[in-house]
Amino acid sequence: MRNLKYVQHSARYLHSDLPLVATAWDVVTDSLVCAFGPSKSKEVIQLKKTSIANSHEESILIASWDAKCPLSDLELDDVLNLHHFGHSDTSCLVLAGGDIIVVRGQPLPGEEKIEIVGSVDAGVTAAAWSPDEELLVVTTRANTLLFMTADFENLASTSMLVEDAVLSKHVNVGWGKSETQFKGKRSRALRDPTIPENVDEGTLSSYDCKQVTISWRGDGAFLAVNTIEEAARRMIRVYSREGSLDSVSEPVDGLESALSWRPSGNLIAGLQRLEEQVNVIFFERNGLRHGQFELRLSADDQKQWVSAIDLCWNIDSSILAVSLQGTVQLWTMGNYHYYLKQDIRCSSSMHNLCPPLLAWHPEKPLRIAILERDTHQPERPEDSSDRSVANTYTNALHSFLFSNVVAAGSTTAPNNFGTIAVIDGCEWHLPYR
Amino acid sequence: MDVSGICPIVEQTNSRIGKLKLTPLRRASLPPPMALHEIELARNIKDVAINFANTRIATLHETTITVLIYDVKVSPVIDPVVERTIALPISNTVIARQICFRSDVDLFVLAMHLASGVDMIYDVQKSSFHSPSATMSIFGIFPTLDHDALCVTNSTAVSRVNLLEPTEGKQYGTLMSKNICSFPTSTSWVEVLNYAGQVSS
Repeated sequence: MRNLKYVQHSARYLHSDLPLVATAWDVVTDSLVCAFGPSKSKEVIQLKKTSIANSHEESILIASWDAKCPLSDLELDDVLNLHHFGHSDTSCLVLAGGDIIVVRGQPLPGEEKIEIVGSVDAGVTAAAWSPDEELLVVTTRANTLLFMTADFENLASTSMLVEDAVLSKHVNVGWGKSETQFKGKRSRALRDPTIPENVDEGTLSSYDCKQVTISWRGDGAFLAVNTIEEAARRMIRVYSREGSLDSVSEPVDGLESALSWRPSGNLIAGLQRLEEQVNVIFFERNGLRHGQFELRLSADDQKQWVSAIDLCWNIDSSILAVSLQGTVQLWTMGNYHYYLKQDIRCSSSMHNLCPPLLAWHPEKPLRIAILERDTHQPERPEDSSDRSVANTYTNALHSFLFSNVVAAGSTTAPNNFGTIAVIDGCEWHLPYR
Repeated sequence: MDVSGICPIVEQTNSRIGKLKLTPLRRASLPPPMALHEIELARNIKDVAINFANTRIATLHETTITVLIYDVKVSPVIDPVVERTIALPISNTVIARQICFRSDVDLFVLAMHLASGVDMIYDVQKSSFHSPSATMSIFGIFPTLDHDALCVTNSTAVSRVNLLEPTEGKQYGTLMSKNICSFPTSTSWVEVLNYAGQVSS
């Protein structure tokens, strides 16, 4: 019955000549560390720190270095994960080419400011730090899962095999054989109730961006990895902290790459895109489905706006942020019903081709930073001597603080009727146009 | 493009509707997510406020306010009806975020001027903006319990405010605040009431 009220909002521009690719909070200085680049015209990665409290302060450049991709079949390198350790003022980046880079804000004598601490030869598809910052998990292009300590020493390594699918606990067979079932008139009432009506095979969504995603449970005991198996279906594998495979998800048609394990541990949120609707679906740790809700988008919205969707729970598991192209939706749950509490619309004048970057504050549950990325593709100057065309990306950074309060009427007699107003934003679904 | 200004959060024109669920709990006990009355409004709702006499509800959208008639004193309670829509004179440079009633008709909107980051209060009845005389960030605006005066909170204090008319030649009026109380940590919810002639919270 509570609504999310905007308590504080600060906004600013982040200009750069490189595209914005990743962000992480620095809780010690209350600022955001952002990674920019590389782009086709400038193969450089820059790390900048932007203060949230003082919106008039310029961003500070922490480091900048050349980043040519070591793999020949990847055109450009990409920052897959950025994590900032506030206590030691160190940032760690994992790149698609396989490099793991540590950037130190205040290097001690004998330490380098930018250091490549390790390299995965096969190339990396996803990486995630555990919530306690003790373990780094990396998935490689050779379909293996590597576990590393905070000092980047190898702890464990497992292969993700197609045979893992047999562990799935879903039921798709009943007691009787299908040849012996009655199929005549009025067979619906007489059909075997133990056979489910239709069983998903796990066909891929047509908008699937083919990415691998990793999400840790809030206590760091388990992690979920969402990959595409044999280009045929998506599978979410749940591993324990020691590297042993715990369970595998049931096949779901239209499952996409978005993945976020609720920190309280009971649900893994994923996204299902069907022809007529887009759903946020939930899995339990054993891989079986456990509830869902519809994103309530119109048919036009679905095709035009939602080619990539991201999910992210906040730190105390109360709000699920859904980042679509051009908007960020905040959903809360009350009595197993999901309310759309806020719908933060981004500027339409920006050439948005990817969803806004989200970063929930790691310690304050109702604090979020939203970065609208400018993704226009600047032309590469034909003549290298012509530098008058400047490639400038203009990203907007919005930081919000919410409070979860009840909107109530007067509580003094004679007007105390206990009127409560609850917001549940609703997108109008128009199936017939 | 203006470098110092900020690209705004622009209202979309496709059909997106915000739903408001209303329940007078003293008259009808309905557990959430059900509600006695549900009304669909034109745009995404950012904040909602109820007046003192429980007869009007105001919802804040990106650039408009919708005022609904919802009288819970009559029996049976009838569906809320849109009374009027007020367009806020906020252009791309100002973002509104909270709304509240004072007494039965006075509406106030908390807004922020994007370029400077200054929080302002907009008096809907008088169509005037008011900015604080000293730099002050405002976390919330709300009326006292008897809807007698308007109060603001920032992270650690609550103050009563008076809004002064803009003087000659000035664009904004001033917001005079008188501190009621300071707190040792930030609070998310404060109520102010008049007790034996003094205000306490």
